[in-house]
Amino acid sequence: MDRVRDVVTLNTGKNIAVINIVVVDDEADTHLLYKLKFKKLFADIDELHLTSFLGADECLNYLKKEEPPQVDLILSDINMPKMDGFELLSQIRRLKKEIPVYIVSAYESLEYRSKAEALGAKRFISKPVDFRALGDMLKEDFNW
Amino acid sequence: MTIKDSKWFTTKSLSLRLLIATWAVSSFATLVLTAIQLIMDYQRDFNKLQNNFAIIESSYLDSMAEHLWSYDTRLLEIQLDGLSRLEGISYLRLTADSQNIYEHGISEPSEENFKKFDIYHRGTNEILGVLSVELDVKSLRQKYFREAIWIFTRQAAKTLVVVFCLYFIFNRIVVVHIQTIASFLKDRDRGNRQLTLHRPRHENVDELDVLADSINQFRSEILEAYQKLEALNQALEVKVQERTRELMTKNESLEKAMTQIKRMQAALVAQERLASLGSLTASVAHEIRNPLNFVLNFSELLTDTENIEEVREISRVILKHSQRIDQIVRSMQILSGYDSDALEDVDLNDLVKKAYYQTLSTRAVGSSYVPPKVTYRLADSITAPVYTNSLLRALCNIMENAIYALEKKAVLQKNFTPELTLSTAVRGEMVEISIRDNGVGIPAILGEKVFDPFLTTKASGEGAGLGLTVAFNIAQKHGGTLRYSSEFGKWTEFVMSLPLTQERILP
Repeated sequence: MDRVRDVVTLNTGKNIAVINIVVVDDEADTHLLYKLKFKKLFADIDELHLTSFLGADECLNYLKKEEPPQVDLILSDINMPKMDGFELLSQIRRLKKEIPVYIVSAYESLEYRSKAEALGAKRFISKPVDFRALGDMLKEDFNW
Repeated sequence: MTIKDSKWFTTKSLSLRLLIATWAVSSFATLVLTAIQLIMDYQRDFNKLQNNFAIIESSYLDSMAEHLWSYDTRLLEIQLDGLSRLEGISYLRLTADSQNIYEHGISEPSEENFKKFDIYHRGTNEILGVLSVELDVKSLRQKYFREAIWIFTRQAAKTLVVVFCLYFIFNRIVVVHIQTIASFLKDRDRGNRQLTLHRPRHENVDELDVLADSINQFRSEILEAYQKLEALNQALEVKVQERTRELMTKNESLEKAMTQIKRMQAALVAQERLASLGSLTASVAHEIRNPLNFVLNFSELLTDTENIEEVREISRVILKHSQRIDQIVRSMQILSGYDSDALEDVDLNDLVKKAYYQTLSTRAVGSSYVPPKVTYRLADSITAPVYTNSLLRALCNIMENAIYALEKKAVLQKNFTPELTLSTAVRGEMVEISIRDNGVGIPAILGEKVFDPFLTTKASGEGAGLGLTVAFNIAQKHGGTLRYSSEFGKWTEFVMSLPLTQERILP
C-alpha cells in the first residue's frame, strides 16, 4: 500500500497529452479522492498517470531511480510520519529537479505558507481542497 | 567603730595588722631581753649577798672567838652591831651555851639565805658559840620584782607609743595611697583623669611612684585600646548600617524585580493559555480538516456519480471519516469537561469487562484483529463511585492501544503469543485498574509525552492522538491517576488508580 499507481485514460483516440502527477500523503484515501476528482477535472487530457505515496521517503526513492520517471507535478502533504513535506521539498531541490511542487496541508498558517514558499513550493493549498480552485491553478500554471 | 574608715584609722587595714604584729614582736623581744638582763643582775646581786658569808667567815669569826673567850660582851656587841649593819644581812643571832647573846632582825630562814657559823677557840678547838646569819634575799627579790614590773610597763608603753606612731606613719605613707589607688581603680570614670597620689615632695622614685606610673601607663594603654575599639565599633556600625542600607536597597530592587517577574509571569501564563488555546485550536482544526477534506470532496463527488459500486465505496469512505470527526469532537468534549456524566456507584469488574467488549466492537469497524486470549485478574467485587461513560471511554482508549500494540507485534513476529491481562485490585483507599499487554511497547524517550494531546504513533486516520490524553483527564476527574510502565518491544502496563470513595462531587 506504499505506492499506488493509476493510469487514468481519458478521451481515448487523440493521444496527445500525458500528464504525470505524484501525490504524497499519509492518508490512504487521498489517492482515491484525487483519482476521482482529476478524472472530472482533466476531461481534455488524454492520459493521466497518478502515483501516490504514503511517505515522503518512498517518493524520494521513486524520484532517485536510475531512469528518472517523468513527473510533471508533485502534490505533497506536510504532516507525515518519518519525513515531512518540507524535508521532501528540500530533498527534491537538492536532487536538482525542477519539478513543480504543490503543498497541500490541513495546517493553514502564515508560517507554513512562507516556509513552503521559501523552500520553492509553487503553491500552498489548504485542506479541505477546493478542486475547482486547484483546477484553475493547474490551468494557470500548466495550461492543462 | 564609728571611726572605722576614717583617714587615720581603719579596723581592717594593713596598718592595724602591722600595728598588732609589730607590737607583739616588739613586746616579746623586750620581754625576753629584759628578763635575761634582770636574771643576770639578780644573779650578780645574789652572789654579792652570798659574799657576806665569806666576809663573816674570814674577817669576823676569829675576833668573835676572841671576844667570846674573854667574854667581852661589849666588844662583842659593837662587833655584832657593825656586822648587822652590813648590807644585805637581815638577821643575826649569836648563841653561846644555849643562850642568845645577841639577836638582831627578823628570822625567815630558808635554804639559800641561812648559814650557821660555829665559833671555835683557836687553841682548844672548842666550840664557843654559834652565829646564825640570814641574808636579805627577800628584799632583793622584791626589788627585782618591782624593777621587772616597772621595766615591762615602761617598755610596753614605749612600744605601744612607737607602734601607734608607726601605724599612723605607715598609714600616711602607704595605706592612704593604696586606698587612693584602689578607689581610683574602682572608679568607673577613671578614664577622665590621671592617677595622682597626694604625697610630699621627694627626690627618689619609690615603689608607690612606680605603681602609680604603671597604673597611669596601663590606664592610658587601656584608654587607647578602648578608643581604638570604639573607633572600630563605630566603623563597624557604619559598615553595618551601610550594608543594611545596601541590603535594603537590594531587597527593594529584588522585590521590585519579583513583582515584575510575577507580573510577567501572569502575563506569560495568560499568553501561554492563549497560545496553548491557539495551538490546541490549530491542532483540532488540523485533525478535523483531514477527514473533512474527504467528507466534503467525496460527498461532492457523490452528487454526480451514477456507478453504484463507486457510490458504495465513496459512502463507506465518507462514513469512516465522519466517524473520525465524531471521535475527535467527543474527545474534545470530554477534555473540556462539558459532558453530562454523573457519579454513580458501579461494579468496576463489570465495567472493565464491558469496556473490553466495547473496544472489540468499535475496533471491528477499522480492524478486525481480535487478541486470541484475554486474562482477567479481578478482585472480589469492587464498587466505586465513577463517571461511568467517561471511565468506560478511558478504559476503551487504553485497551484499544493495547490491542493495537499486540496487532502490530503480531504482524512483525510470526511466533508471537499475544497476551492481554486486565486486572483490578484494592490498594488502601484506592482501586487500581491495570491493563497489561505484551505488545510492541512504548519507546522510553516518549515518557510522559504519551499523555500529550495529538501525539500519535499511528498513521493518519488511525488515531488523532487524543486517547491517552482523554484517559488521563478522566482519571484526574475522578481524583485518581493514570501511570504506565513499559519496556520497548516487550510489554506495556497502564495502571489507573481511582479513589474508592468520592468526598466531593467534581463538576
